[in-house]
Amino acid sequence: MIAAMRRVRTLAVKEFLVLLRDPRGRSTLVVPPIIQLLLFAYAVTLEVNNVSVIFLNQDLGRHGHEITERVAASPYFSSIAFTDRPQGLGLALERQEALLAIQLPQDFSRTIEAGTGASLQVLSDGRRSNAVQIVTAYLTEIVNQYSLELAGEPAGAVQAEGRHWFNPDLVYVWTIIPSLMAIITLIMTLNLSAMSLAREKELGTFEQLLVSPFSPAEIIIGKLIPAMILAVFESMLIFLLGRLLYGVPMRGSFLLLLASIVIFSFSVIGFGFFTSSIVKTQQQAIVGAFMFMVPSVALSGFAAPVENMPAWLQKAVILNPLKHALVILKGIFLKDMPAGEVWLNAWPLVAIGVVSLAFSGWLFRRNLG
Amino acid sequence: MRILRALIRKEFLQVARDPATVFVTLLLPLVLMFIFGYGVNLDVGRFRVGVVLEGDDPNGLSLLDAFGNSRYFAVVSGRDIRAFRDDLTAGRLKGLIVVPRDFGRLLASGHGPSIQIVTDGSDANTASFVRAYSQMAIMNWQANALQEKGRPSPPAIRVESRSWYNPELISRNFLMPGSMSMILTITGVILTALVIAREWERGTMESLMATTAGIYEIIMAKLLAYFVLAVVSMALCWGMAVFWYGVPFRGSLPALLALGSIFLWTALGQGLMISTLTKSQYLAAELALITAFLPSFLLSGVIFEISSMPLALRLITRLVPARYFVSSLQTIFLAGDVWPLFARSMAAMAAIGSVYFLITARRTVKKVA
Amino acid sequence: MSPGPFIAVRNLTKTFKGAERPALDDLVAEMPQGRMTGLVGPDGAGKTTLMRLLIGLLVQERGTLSVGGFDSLREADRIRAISGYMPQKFGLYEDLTVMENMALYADLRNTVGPERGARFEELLAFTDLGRFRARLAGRLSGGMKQKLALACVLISTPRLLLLDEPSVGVDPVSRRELWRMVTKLASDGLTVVWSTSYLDEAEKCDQVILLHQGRNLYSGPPGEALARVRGRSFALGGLQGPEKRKALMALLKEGSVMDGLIQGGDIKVVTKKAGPAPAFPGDWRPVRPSFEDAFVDLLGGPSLGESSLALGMDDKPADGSVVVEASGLTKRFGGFTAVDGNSFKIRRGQIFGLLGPNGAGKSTTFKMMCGLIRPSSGQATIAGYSLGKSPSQARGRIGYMAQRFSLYDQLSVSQNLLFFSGAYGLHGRRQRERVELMKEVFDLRGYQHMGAATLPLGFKQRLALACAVMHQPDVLFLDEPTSGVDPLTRREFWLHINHLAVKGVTVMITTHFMEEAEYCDSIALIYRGRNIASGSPDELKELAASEGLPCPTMEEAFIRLIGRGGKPAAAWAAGSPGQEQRGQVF
Repeated sequence: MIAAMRRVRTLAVKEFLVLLRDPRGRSTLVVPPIIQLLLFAYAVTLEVNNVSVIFLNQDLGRHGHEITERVAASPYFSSIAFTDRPQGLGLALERQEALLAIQLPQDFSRTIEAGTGASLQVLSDGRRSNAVQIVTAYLTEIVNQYSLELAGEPAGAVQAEGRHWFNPDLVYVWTIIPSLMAIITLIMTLNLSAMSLAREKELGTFEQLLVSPFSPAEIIIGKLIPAMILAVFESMLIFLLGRLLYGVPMRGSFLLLLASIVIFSFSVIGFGFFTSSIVKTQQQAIVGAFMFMVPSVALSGFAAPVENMPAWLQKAVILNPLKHALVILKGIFLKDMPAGEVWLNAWPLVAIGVVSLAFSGWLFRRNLG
Repeated sequence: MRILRALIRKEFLQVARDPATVFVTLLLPLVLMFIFGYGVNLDVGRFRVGVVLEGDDPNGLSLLDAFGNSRYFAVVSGRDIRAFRDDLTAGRLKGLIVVPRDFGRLLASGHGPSIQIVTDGSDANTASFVRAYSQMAIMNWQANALQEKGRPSPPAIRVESRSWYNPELISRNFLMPGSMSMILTITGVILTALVIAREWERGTMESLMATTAGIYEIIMAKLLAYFVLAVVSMALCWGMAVFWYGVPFRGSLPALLALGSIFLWTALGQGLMISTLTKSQYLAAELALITAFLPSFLLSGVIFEISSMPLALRLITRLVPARYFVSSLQTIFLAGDVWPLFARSMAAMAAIGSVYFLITARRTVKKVA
Repeated sequence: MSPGPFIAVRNLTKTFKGAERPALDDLVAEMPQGRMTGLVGPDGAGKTTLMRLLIGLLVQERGTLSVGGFDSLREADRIRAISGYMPQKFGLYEDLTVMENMALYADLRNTVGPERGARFEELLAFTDLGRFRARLAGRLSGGMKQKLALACVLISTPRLLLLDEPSVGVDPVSRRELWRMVTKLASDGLTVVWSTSYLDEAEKCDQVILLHQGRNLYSGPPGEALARVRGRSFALGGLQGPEKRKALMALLKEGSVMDGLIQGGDIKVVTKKAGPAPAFPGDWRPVRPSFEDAFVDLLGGPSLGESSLALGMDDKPADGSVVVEASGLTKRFGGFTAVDGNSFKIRRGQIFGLLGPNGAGKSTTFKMMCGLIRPSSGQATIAGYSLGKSPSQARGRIGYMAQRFSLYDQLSVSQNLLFFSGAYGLHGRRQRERVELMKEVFDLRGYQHMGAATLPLGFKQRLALACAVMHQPDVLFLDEPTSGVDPLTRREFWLHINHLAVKGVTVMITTHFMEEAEYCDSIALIYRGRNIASGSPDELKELAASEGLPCPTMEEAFIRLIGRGGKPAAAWAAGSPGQEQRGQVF
């Protein structure tokens, strides 16, 4: 037993040294995650703003004009154009020069003053239907706000007070950083663990390992530990940057966060080892890791909600570690998720990890003959 | 010419007998279309919300009915907000609408009661939707309630929205064309890059170069063969989108072929360029993934709106062929043949592709090192 | 025949980016027309680089190359039109059939018209591949691939044939056949350049260019090189096993001896000057020098002495016990039986070799015996521990060194040593002591913090060996340890191995290099998965000897024994004298 532990320690130390002694490897640990973080947080967002709108304002009164002013003033709409022909609206939409084409009819102000209720027509480019829905909601809020002001708060009107829990100002970045922590950790860890075995196979040192007293279990544990430590390092890097640069709040327990990261990395490394135990070259390992990564991110709930998937697919994504990690991390960061709830989402990760690692170990021996 | 024909024949024979190539060209596109089609669904469906009626007031019940009848909400009701708190935290509910105890009393006395709309701020877009639609539901309810009582309603401006090309705002209709572009990038770039690197690693490239076959003929043969394969890939994706998912196709097939050809021209050119820069399959795969796949996913406008990106990044997207292909595809499927748009896109893609080919030509000499 | 050389190399220099020394360094050489020139040298000597420069696939920094009157820089295309080039990996398309490959190259080399069909038939007959014309090239054996590659380059009837290590790893029968075919072509007037690291092939060429680290060590007829070492080679017979090795060690310390090695039952020695045999008691007789002797002499002779490595090892008990035992080892991959019922018994202090071409099953047998592959049936034990039942203990008694030194390139020398010793259970003070000893013994201290990748080849070999023996194993498994290395490096390596054997370590090696088999006490010839003959090198040569061939070389013996139907020589092995001291075989 002690001998086994000593061997595992020897292997773990070696893994660390191999990674850290290579200057390219060292920079790969730090630079890509930072770039990915900046990219996603600053640049690539799920928000919609800077939208182009085109107006056909046929209104003879001031309300129409007021509406256009309000829209122009909103940060969501950056480019306001005007046309004086109905065809102009269609053309702009067709050529994708505007996302929304808004028509204010001649009697707009008149019907407002008369109290018979006015309406504005919005034509939108359904080719970008997701953006359209989001932006139409913004537009609706602007118009609602105006309506309320006009009404001047008549007596007895119902006030609808909205409050966003966990993120009162709806800061987009706060919602992204916890997800990014999981995604970036996934990418780095998957690549690292898939490559580690594949590289040894290609270079021939894997054979050397197998011919020495290491058992498959010892090899796996010896490689698992440094990989998990590095995964934690990666995620802490993102954590620090997220807190320092963006002020993302951390309302839950830090220990719970750490434990979740450890469990998450356990399952991801399982996938990574599994990949590299079925391939022979480093190139195949990269492609294999990629094949795991793309569906993982696509089916995780990051870009589109899991609830929107068909029922059978929702059951299948239980096998996707990222899906659970997203729920857990957002929960801990923003909602102070309690341990019980965290465990509900975390135990599948443990199961996935155990099964894939066991399978990898079995494949080690089998592959050699 | 004879040499070219002989080389092309060799390429096709190799492809037909190589399972990896067959997988990437025929099977992988279908698998990815499947995953993206079912997994990524951005349709605004019904949001699960909890309506808390703290009192016994019939107005509250009537409001509950209004929410229940709305097509945006799936409602559960209760008496105590504390019961729902955990649900909101866990993400099982997307919003809480709280009708206070004194709602009816204040309404009757004309003092303007307030209703709380609590949303889950950890998902910004959903929170926006829930708030906007809840407000709309409340305002509509109030307007109807007052009308029934014969009281004048405050003038509400209605937003009547109609979406062209995709009236039901089905997200799949714009996501599928976008997925096609990603999948064809994989086929075009990665395949070409790997294939040439593989010939180097196996030593057959050296053999070819030692004959009197010209280097351009060698490359041209590969391009033609893989172009045909990629077109087959495209046809499969198109077929799946139209016949399996029911995405409307309102354009013409010749136009699709023209657009696809130019896009594939750039993808193949990029793959070729990558393979002249590195002779190792491993590096070729890495480069292809980073410089081709990632931009096609992040910077093409499929999931992440280009308009929301900072200026620097928006300019970079102009260099990504996938961006033009995505918008052209969305147009040709949903709007039909819009030649001004197509012409612009094709010109941009052709320009980018030409640059890749020029770089390749300059670096390509019949030398090993 | 034109008076000047067909190929003229003048002051050729080529350095690769990032390399420490030039691949070719101011090389001057000539290759005559209509002759077979052997380009000889170990890995890294510059052979492939020169070939690629000849055909214009590389560009030199300095110097000129002229082939058939054309300059390689400006007229590369015309050179290609008159040459056939066969690269190291044969350059065949594995997914295409034999005919498809030939048709492709015919098209690429502009061989068209009615004569084409006739040419195909001619070549298929010449290479005896007619029956396989519809088979995928990937499904051919090594020897057949070789011949197909040759056919493809011959299609356009070139005037120059460039063959880059065409016979590496291929079975001896095919090697002979290829040689026969090419010499016939040369005698028909073709100019041939054949590069190889097999020195025995070099000896048979019309002329030889010996490359070492990019420099031309010697060029001219092989006979003249041999003349240098004439009268300096002697053999000492009559010693067995450990005594033989001890005698060799003593001889290497003699002042008059330049080089020495074991050749079957003899010790062969090359003295520094022509003269009498060394002053060492025993039955000396003068022998014909080999080309390798000439090479070693040209390189200035090895650095001799004792192996300090072995000095650091404890003696194993000299009890003659069986240390490695395998019985009925069989391995099936799907429907294909790679190894069929091989059995061995190897005792303490023996050097045992598995000999055979690539794909014969020797690697698979080897791997089953050191625990890398699980046998389909049969078992193996090491020092009494069964590999199947107590794998960890069994493997703890094994040391293993793979062909390409599986060291961790990114780690330093010290870190590699620490890792391997830790893997075998050394820890604490004992570990530190052993690691320091290894550094001392192998003179690695100066390199201890350097990355293993940057070590010179000789030091890498030492480091790999050190890592394999730090834990004082009972058995050392060596997988093709010296293929492609220069003779000096090989000498040093065998110095260590011999001394280890004297100390009682059992050594098991695999090799396709027939001459290396001579260093072993006992060999098993593996062909098509079966052990077709075993015994000491001399016994096997005796077995294969016949009237027409009274003193076969190891390779000739192998070919003979294969030809005898490939059945295990069971009856023969039963009653040979002196069996007890050696490995018993079935």
